[in-house]
Amino acid sequence: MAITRKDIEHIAVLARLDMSGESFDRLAEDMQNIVGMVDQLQSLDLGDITDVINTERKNALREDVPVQEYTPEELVKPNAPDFQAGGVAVPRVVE
Amino acid sequence: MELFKKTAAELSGMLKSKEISAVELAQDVLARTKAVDEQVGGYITVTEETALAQAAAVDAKRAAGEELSDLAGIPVAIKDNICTKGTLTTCASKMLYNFKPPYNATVMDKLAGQDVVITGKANMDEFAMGSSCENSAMHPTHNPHNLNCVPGGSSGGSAAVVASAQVPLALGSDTGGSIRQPASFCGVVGMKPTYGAVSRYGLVAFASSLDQIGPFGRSIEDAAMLLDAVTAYDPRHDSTSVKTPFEGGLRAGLNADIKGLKIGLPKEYFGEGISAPVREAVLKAAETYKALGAEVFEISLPLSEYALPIYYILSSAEASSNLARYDGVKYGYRTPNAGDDLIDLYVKSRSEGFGAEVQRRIMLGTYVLSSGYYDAYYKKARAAQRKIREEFAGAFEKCDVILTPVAPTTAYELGSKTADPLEMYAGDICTVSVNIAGLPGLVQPCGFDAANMPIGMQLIGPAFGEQTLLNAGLAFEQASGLKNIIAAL
Repeated sequence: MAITRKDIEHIAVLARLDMSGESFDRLAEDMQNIVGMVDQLQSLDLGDITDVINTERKNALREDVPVQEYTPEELVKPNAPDFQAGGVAVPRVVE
Repeated sequence: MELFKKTAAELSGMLKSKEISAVELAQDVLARTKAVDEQVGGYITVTEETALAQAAAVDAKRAAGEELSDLAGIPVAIKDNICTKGTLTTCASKMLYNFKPPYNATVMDKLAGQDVVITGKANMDEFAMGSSCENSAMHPTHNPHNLNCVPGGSSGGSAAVVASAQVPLALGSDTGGSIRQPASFCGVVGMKPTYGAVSRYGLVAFASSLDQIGPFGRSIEDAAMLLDAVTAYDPRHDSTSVKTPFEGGLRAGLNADIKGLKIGLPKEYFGEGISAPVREAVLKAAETYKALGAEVFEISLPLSEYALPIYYILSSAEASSNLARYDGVKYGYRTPNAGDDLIDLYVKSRSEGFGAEVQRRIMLGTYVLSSGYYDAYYKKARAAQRKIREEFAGAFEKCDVILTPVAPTTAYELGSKTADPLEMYAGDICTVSVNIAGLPGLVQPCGFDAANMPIGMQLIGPAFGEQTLLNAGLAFEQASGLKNIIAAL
């Protein structure tokens, strides 16, 4: 399955990456080569194995008890690019 | 006294007998870093001040007669994708150039509890994606054995600081070979533990089902000491953490008597793609094992041919999901170029913050998970992963450990493989299956090539077979004398 330039543009939108610049040609070539490599998997016959369930492990569950180790202020403020009024500031999202 | 040239086990004894103090040792290794790291580039951040304070605290505890751990006062470097509270943790990415975690990774709490002295944060390929350390957004790291060559990756900084004797021990992480391949290139010991043996809490996620933290050292005993210190069941923070049968007891369990050990040599790992010096050195190690009383025979792992596509599908799929959190909103890099549009803020922050290789992997991962392609790629790779696990399980019915090369070649020159991503990926052929199957893998030096660059060998064991691997490694280390190799700088 060859990946087309149109596919790559679509994937970039999904991945929230800007691939429109002058590096697009280079990326498209790399992506075509990489997809060609992973396509080798198509020649593997897995017989009737289709499930991907990992049966060796059990779910690790614990009691649903809230724990507050940090306040939002301690946790978020030191690393937030723009912290205002107790929260992270972003561009307007509602008109 | 050149304390920096000693192993952690030797230093531990000297500290216990009060022949040296932890402060003297910290000063000695930090001076070594000042002398050589400008050439090597192993560290992103050197935490000199806190290291000296930690060392002084250890000395005070010892003077007060407190019972201390074997690693108390021993300097350790940490890969820069392991969260260190209040200390920069950049993942060698512009995206996290200013990130100071508000919490410690579980392994950091474990090390602090054992009074380890942290010397700094080691360089790596950005977000652990790469095999040469050249994808670091900060600076490249040079192989201490030849500064024109790469140290391997992604934990290239961790391997290089140990090989250049800036520190006796370091932690790295291994998703597809990121501890083992740099250990091989730099002539040190590196171990990827069984998946689940070491808590991943606080390890910045690349591919969560494959990532595992592990030790670097210049001897088998040293690697065992550090692995003992960080192995811990962590049910509170890591749902994939498991209780291991060896919890903390690997060093004490070391035993170099390997008579009767069954060692399998998978023929697929010794084919044309492997350079002659590497193949010969690993086969010579097999002869050493025979002389030590092991039973060595050929086995077959035919699915190895599919390991690279399976690995790049699974790891990139998980990476695309894990790295979705970097959006310029909560922490890390935020573009100054977005207008008043939130999507534009996401796209520009990500496109400016991530390097080319990270963007390629996100693109591949998004593609194999996208509608119409999921079944053919991701789902099929997961099913094939099960087959690979079964194939290894079958092999371990015949043998106790599997001996293979680590990488097709020894360390290559900087810049020589950066033009073609596929050429770089091909170098992971001997290591990725171990992550796909969740197994432990031990790498140690087994010789040198004609240019005097280190050659490593890999021992693969069944899940939680760490003690068997380390014992086999110790037997070879003693027979070969290849221990505590320090690059001449």
